[in-house]
Amino acid sequence: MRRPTTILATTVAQLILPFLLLFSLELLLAGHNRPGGGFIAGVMLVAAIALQYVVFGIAPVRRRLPRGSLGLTATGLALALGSGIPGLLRGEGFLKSWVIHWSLPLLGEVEWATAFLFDLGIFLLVAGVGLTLLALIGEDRP
Amino acid sequence: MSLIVATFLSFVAAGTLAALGRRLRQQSGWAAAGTAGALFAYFASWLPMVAGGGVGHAELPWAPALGVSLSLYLDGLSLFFALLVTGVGTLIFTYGRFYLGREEDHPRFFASMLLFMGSMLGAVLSSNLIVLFVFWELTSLSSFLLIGFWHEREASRYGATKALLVTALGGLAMLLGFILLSMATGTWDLADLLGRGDQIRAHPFYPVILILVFLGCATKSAQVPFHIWLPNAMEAPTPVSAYLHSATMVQAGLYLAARVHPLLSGTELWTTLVGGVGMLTLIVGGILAVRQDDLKALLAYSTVSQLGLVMALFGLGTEIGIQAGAFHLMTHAVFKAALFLVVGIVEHETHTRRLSELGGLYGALPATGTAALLAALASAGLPPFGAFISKEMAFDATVHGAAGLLGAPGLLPAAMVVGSAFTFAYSIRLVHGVFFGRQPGGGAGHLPSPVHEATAWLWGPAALLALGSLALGILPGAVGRWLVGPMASGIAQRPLNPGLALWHGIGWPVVLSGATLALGVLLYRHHRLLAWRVPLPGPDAAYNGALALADRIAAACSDRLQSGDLRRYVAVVIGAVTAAALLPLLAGGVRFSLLETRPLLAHEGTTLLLIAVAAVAIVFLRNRVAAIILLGAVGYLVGVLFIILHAPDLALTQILIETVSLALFLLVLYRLPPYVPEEARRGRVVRDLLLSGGAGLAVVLTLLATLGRSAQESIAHYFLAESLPAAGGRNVVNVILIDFRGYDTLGEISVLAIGLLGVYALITLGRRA
Repeated sequence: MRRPTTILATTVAQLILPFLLLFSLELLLAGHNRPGGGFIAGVMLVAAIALQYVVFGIAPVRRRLPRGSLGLTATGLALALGSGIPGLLRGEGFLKSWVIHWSLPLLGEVEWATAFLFDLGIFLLVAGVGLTLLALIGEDRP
Repeated sequence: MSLIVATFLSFVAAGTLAALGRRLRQQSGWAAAGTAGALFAYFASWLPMVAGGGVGHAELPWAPALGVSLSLYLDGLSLFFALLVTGVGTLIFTYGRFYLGREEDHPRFFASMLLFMGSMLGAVLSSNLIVLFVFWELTSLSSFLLIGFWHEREASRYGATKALLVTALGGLAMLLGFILLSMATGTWDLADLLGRGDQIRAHPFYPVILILVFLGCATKSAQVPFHIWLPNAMEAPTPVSAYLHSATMVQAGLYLAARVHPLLSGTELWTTLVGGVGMLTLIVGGILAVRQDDLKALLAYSTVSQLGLVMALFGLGTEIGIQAGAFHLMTHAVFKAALFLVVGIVEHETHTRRLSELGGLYGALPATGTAALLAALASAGLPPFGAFISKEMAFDATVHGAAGLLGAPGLLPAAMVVGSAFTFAYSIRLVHGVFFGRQPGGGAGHLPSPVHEATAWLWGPAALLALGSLALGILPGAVGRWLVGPMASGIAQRPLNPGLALWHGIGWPVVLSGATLALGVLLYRHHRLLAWRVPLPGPDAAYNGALALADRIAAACSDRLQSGDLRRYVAVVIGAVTAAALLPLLAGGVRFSLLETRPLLAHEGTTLLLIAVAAVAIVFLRNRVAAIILLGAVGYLVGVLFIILHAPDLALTQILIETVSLALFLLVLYRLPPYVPEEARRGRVVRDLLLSGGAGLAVVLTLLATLGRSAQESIAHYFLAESLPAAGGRNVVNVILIDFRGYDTLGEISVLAIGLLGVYALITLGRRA
């Protein structure tokens, strides 16, 4: 089905996409210390793709998206579950976060918590769920 | 630590096989057998330590705040089961590699088998009751997968469902029992509980705990009247029947009865319940077994009967009962697995397992026939097999020690004699009917001619098991020291040292053995007399009836609630949620308060007013797209409000979610039938007003009640203070989500994924229909 779209809409949608994706990534990476986090980042990603759907229609966008958003969901869940194991092995209990301090050249003291893996899992899962829903519901009527 | 690795090795192997099995195909069986063999060697290395009275421990904390940890405990009882599971597993996986045809899905079969092996190891090794329960249910689940291996067959699906429902329901009863047990004692740890028998027996919960836990044992070990699932489980491929449904899984109930022996035994209720049910099962299973024509059904009922015998011995609650039960459990597992493997070979070579179509196969299948003969003689309880000794010990246990069942001292020995006579009769019937005697129809019957002997990879495992049951009898000293002694000590939790011997001198056991033999020969010659039918509805009818009733109730509910009218669905959902929220709030005892009040600032007031105007306007719109966009506007305005109130995370989430749901909403609209404005009937308007008013009231009251809690209860201060030092994050909202309340989030994202699967199924199936 062809949708009536304006040149303005298509141009803006194309231009803005990389920035939306970058913003999603920023939300994911900065989440532990500034506003953001895996959940919001995942929703942001879905919103960015939803905009493409609205402007260009379902079929053209689906062709350009990598397949397997259902697998993305499963990977996210597996990662979130798996991120609990280091805490278990350290004898502190499942999902207990482990904060690691690293001294890196240039960047200085860097702090990294295993909870980030959990957050990454949430990100993948939310993105997978959103993309699958969009693709499923958006398909042309039988 | 090595114990934990060993327990989870099978799961890793199962996962690997499921993922990479396409490459291995028919060689998957070797990978499974290799895993089982390595584990057997590992557990065998524990033998000297455990036989010397030592125990093994390993622990990984899971949720320490709740007292749940992955703790393992290895004593003589668990070690015996671990050896049984891995040892018989090695033989049966090897057999299975050659039993399954080229076209079968080998990787799926062996991945499920390994899944079962891991679950069973976990169940017998875990020391924490919750962990035990989880592994226990995992064995039911993997049994479901294996019984339903040929899922295109109706009978397989029925058998798989029946086994799952019966054993899983028993498992739930057992869980309730465990919860009461921990309420009574304050611990979830079995190793800790083992020393607290007196405290538990004196507790008012004791009878309920015993009955609930025993329900778990009885369903798993197919005790009457829950024996009905086992014959239907014979729809599984024969290696599965040999492994799960004779040697290991059905013994899990016996394991549990043995494990809780120090906690719950020694009362009249224990003897009556465990002993009585076991004795009844022994006799009912024996009668049913002799009547069967299908070899696997015969073996299934004979397993029921033997499990009943061991259960009855544990029910005695005496030391000699424990020793006899432990040894008989051992001998039965070995000879019964051998018999199943033999039946599998017979079916493999002749394509039938009906006694009425078989006969005189010894010449064609000499190796298989020899293994069958040895295993059947063991099953019949003849010397010099291990089962002869265990049966003598059982006679001894029933005559001495116990005060008698139901106040009648002669009842148990008599039941034992009758049950064992049936065992003798069907064992002889099996081996004679298949391998000796004459082939029905003078050889021109249903059998392919000529029948060929199977490959040594098939009869080898059966022969090894048959020789094993012989070894159990001719090496009584070693068996007693290395296996039965440690196992019985593990059950009783004090050192027991049975003196096993083939000949005990003249005494009650020998007399009763003689009586058994005479009665057995009589039953064998006249087994046709037992083919009467009971005209009464049995437990099978009860199971089918309950299932049909559940179907009818479910259908009636969904017919009423799911009329296909979306408005009705929404009304039901909102009504239910509102009622669930309002009822406890209005029931009293809740303090409502405003934490603090201050005059609204101009921009706050404007935003709130806009929200209200937009919300009211939605109701009067006739255009669906316009209504949805206005609904989105309400959501965005709420986001603006969050920004004003300095909650950037909330605002971000609110605005993004609003965007995505707006897009989804519009897409859904595209799928719906066109909107037909209805007549605004008075009844409908009143219903909608009530629903929306109630929902609004529920939200406001919940908020006020939240604010009404006193400040001391708030954990906000803790989160604010600990976010950076404990979790290394400055964004408290995010730290709460992914760290402090990580379990909640894990639950939520799992629900999200499950919800997605539901939508996926609905839409794709709907398209296909």
